[in-house]
Amino acid sequence: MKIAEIPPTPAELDPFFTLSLDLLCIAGFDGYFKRLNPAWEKTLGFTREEILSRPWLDFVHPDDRDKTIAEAQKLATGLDTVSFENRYRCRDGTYRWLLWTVTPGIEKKLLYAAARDITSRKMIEEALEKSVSLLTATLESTADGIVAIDGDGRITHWNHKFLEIWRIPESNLPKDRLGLAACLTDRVRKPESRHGLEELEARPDADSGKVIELKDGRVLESYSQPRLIGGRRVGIVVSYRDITERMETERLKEEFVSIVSHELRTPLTSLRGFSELMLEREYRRSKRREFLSIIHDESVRLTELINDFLDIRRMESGRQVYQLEKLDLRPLFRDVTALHALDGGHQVRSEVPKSLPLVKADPRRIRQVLSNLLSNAVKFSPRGGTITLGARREGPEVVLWVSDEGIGIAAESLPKLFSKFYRVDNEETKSVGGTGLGLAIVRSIVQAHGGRVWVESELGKGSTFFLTLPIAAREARSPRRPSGAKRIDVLLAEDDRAYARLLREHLERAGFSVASTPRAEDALRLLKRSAPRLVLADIQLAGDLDGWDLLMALKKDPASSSTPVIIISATETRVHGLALDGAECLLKPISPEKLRDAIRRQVPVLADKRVLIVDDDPLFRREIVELLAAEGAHMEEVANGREALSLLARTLPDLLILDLLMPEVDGFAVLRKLRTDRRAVNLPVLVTTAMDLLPREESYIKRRIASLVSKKQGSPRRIVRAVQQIMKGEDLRAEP
Amino acid sequence: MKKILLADDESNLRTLVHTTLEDSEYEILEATNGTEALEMAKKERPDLLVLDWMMPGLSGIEVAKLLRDDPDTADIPIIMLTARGQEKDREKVKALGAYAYLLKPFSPLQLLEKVRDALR
Repeated sequence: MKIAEIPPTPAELDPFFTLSLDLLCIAGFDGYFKRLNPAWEKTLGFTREEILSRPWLDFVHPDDRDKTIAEAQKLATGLDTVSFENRYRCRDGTYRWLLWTVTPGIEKKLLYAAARDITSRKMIEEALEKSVSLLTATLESTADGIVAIDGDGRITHWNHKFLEIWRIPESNLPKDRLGLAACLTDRVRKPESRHGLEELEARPDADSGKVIELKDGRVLESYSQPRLIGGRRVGIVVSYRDITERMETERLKEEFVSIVSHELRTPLTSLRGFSELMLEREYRRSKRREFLSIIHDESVRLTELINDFLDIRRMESGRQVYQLEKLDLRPLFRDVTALHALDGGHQVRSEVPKSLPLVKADPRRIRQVLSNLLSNAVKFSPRGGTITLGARREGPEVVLWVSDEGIGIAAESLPKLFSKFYRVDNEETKSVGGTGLGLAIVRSIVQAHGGRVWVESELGKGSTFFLTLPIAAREARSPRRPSGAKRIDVLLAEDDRAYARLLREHLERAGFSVASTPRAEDALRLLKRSAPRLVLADIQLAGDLDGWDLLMALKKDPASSSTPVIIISATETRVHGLALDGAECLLKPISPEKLRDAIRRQVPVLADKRVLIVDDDPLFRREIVELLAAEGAHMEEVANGREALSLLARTLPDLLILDLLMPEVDGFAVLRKLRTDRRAVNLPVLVTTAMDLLPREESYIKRRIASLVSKKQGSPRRIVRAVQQIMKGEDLRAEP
Repeated sequence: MKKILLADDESNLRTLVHTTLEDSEYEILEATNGTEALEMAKKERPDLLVLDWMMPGLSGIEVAKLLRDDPDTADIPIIMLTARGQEKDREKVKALGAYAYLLKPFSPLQLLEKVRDALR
């Protein structure tokens, strides 16, 4: 029996029009709605009257209007609309996405339409798109190679880095885990080693740091993470990182450490050996001297080795700081030549033109470069000969060279010459010594200056080492004309008017601008106003304050605390209170003679004087205590800054020997405290440090130097010269 | 009179060992590199060899190996001096059947003791 469907009556259809959640409507070709179901009000928030009163295009989003018009025109020709989307405005100003199905009734010029609110769907789609684009961007931006596999073993995601790391062409990428696993196994060096894709199930929850060695020599590290949805494992993501470079760096570090410890053991062998022999046996005096001489030489060599190691480590790790200046090379050449000239049998010649331009360089490090090159030149011409130092300008650079007439270098050794620890294996130079780091250091320094270094050599004839340095840019300002601001060069505090006038004339003639006053109080005011580059002060001043007060006030104020000060004294007595700020700084290790000389400079006679030594090294303390007690000094020793400060608070010694580097309260802190102590203005201080001072620390110490010039011995010319030297940043004391 | 052959490229070290072993009972010969050491060992047939490992040209280890391969010199006891202190270095020296191995910086008196033992 055929069951016929009974079409609904119009009355039966009516409730559906009202109930429908979709927006149902009848609209006219004239652009107006004719009939709307309640869903319109619920969805858009307008009343039906409001919607009926306006053309439906009014409610359409401006961006969708054109396509809506086009669609309407299509409908007018009798075609249905299926799945058309546009946005309708709501009462609150927001828009909702509608999905339309429309059929036209041409004769009556009506459109019969049903629209579904798909805003949520659209939002979800948009969110999904955002997610996907984030995922894609993340995958492609990371430095790791990533591959994601789902529960069925299919490869769902990968990035280009993954292909790159494993060297798989995109077209060859397998589609599933098994294929990919086989592909990776192919590339792995040891067939039994794992590459992360072996099994999904047996894998622990997350894996990290597995090292994989590839056939082509590279090394990878893999990390994996399971994909979980609601606690259920649905796949895995594995990432790979190329750690070849990291391994190489670590290997080089290991090698460096191993070579260093090896190198250090060699001089130590002589130190231990000869000292032990001398302790256990009796040797006659000439033998003892020979052994002690060897011990001394080897300990110097050990010091040089350690300094070289630290230098090259610092330079190669980029931590070396260079203090670039406009450097005049000629005095540098002279100094370095003088130092090396005493090596017998060599003539040192200079080919440096008078008009050599200034270079932009760190004087200390360039000195080191020249010293290393000269030292090599001497070492590698054991039969004497001429060593030539030369320089000339070439375009934007200055080319320097050091040339010798020695044994030369074989062509096959040339490429490795500047690398660390490379020592030329040669019969004649077997006991030449050296660290094998000299040229590596030279190269590091020159390259950091933006220059190049190279060598030309012929076996048996000699070698020439070349390097380039950039020329310093021209100076923009001249020291004679002070800039618009009221800044002056020299502030002079001197109560003797005639002397003040004399000094002032000399200074101005030398090109310095001078402000002077006889009173310390006025000097302090002038100081604030004109920020002088240097203060020249007499101890005797008019008014209530004297030169010391001025000095202390200067040091207390951070704005002026680093301004160099020269104190002029009319009295003969060594006013060594300046030593507080002119703290003489000694570098450890230090020989007892040097230490004694330095102490004598501060305190000529030690008998019955009280000396406090502050140092955390008990052996050094003992050495000094014994040394000075032998001269009749009353010694006191403490091991750290805190104890030193509490002792100093109670009573001051006649001499303070202070280590800079101590844990917790260091030497700097002690100096700072002393500076604000009026009693300590006359205290001689000897500062020792075992550290390679950073330029910042060196200049901290140097710039706090107040140098002493005696009026009786010093002519104004000497004073002006002292001012000039300080302005140029040079230290007045001779290097220890 | 026992003959000791000492080989090291560093003159300070040669002085140290020579001074340490100076004795009316020992005649001390010196070589300044591996090749010289090999020649002198074959020619002079010393009763003991004190060898430095790291030398330019032939290293101490290579000299020791070559001497062991030659039946004439295979039995000469060898004391190796070296700054190389890793396990694998120790193994290498042991594998050559060296009498002793001293790590620099060594105690000269300890060296003397080992020399006396080896020559007994």
